[in-house]
Amino acid sequence: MGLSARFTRNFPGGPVIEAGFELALGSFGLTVLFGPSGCGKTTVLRCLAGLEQPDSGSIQAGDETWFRPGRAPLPAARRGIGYVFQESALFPHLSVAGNIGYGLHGWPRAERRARVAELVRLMGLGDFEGRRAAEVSGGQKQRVALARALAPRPRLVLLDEPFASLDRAAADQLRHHLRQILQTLGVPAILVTHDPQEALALGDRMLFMSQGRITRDGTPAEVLSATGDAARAEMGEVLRATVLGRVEGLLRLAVGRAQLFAPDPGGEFREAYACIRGEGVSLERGPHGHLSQRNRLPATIVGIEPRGALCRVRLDAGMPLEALITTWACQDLELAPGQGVHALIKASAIQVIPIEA
Amino acid sequence: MDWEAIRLSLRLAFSSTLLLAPLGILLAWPLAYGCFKGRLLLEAVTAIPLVLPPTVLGFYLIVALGPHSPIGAAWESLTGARLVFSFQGLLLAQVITNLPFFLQPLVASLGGVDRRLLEVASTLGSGRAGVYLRVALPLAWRGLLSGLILSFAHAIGEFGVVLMVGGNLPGQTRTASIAIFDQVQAFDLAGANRTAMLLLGFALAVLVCTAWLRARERTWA
Repeated sequence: MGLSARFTRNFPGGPVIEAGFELALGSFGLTVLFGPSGCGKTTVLRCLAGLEQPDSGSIQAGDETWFRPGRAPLPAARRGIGYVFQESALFPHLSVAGNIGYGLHGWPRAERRARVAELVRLMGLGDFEGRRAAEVSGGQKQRVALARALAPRPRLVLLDEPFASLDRAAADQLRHHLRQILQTLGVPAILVTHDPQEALALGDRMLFMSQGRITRDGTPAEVLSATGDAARAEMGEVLRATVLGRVEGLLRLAVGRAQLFAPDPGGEFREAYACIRGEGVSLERGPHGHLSQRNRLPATIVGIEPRGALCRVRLDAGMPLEALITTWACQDLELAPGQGVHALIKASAIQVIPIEA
Repeated sequence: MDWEAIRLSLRLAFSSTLLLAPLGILLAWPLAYGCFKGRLLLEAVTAIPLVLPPTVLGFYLIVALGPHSPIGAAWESLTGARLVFSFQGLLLAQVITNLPFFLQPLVASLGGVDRRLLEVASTLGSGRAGVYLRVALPLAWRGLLSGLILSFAHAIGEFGVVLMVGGNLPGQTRTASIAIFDQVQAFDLAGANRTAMLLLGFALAVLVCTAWLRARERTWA
């Protein structure tokens, strides 16, 4: 069974939000809806949840029509969706257990208790069960919100920047946990974020949204590499890497046909993304001197694009790579496409983002 | 002190508040969250008793509940008694007169409830009634309590409408405020003073209570 969403939502005097994508339901998969703030990501999520209605188009989940013009939309209550807001939005008049059990109204008491207990255990909320919502910390609140959304066994979970209101430590912890839990429960999810690191670490698939439209659809690395926007400028070249080993606090990574040394962000992982910004790559021709760089890769120049005082040199170093050097240096080294050079990458210029298993 | 009148006032206030609460809870939802065309009209109609002179309201209630009106005639054929100048007629008049005193604080409190909480509840399977009864109303409990106290207090003190619709029948429609009026008319100033002092103390206690509730009303963290 799948979800098919093709709709538009108009705001008077504002942008038109357009969404068009298909999503498999019934098994785990984490789709990231990615884009800059204000591009309409939350509107797409709210339309899917039934919290607001599109102006045209349709939303279909298997045989069920959630939205079609001229017909009454299926109310949010009957869509079988779990929704987690940016700020937890816990019911302040209920305890942690009361919040988690809210959506289990009408379940037999024993089953309700068992389900709440299962989620309390799964989310590591054992010590807080009886506390009021206001009495738990930000990270715990978001865990409760997630448990509450998952308790009624939703068909799809919608997460609207769930880590945005958390401090870094709490966000990292929950991020690590989130994928595992969704995977354990076998629930597909759509995560809204504008953080490329988060998208890379968590997503199986990325929908890239820009100015109200979904413009790209693919794996997070593919989509990020293909976009020419701020996120890409922030991340640089995004390359899939396998951990080969650890040497003196550095990771030895296999990237394409090349090997790189990069700082170890810590934690157990085998797969990661290596993000290399053009500013961190320099080029060398001629004999090899004594350098501090750990990564020296033979490369062929694929293309050169002048950008004012700087040149963007595209390379094949057994993996796609980009160097941002001055036009002056470019002329000095007499660089030209097809030429062989050495790419020098400081280990500290490589950002490693572990892929959550 | 006219204890019979005081007892009647209390009975009337309790009964009218009891009847008014479910009606008000039903009306507060569309007033706080409704998006329909007649909302402003509904708001105006339910607030009319606040601004209308009690005599005008009383006059129309007599017309509406009188023996020649459909309501009055139906009541008479059902019970054999008249609705105007009876306790039941007075009760109905009190419900209508005091409705805005219940609605205003409740609707204001409901308006202060975080919309996201209502949205979350709907994604968790609650229909409109569920969202209202399980989330909105419990979170607006201070407004609900303020409304109950205010409408009860106003029912105790109402004079104009009571006199118009109920008249002055001891044990049936002669309430404490009517009794004071009678005592003054009969130059029993000491008696009037005792009853008046009791009502004054009561009104003061009620206002302190509602002010305390309002001061403590804060958005839930």
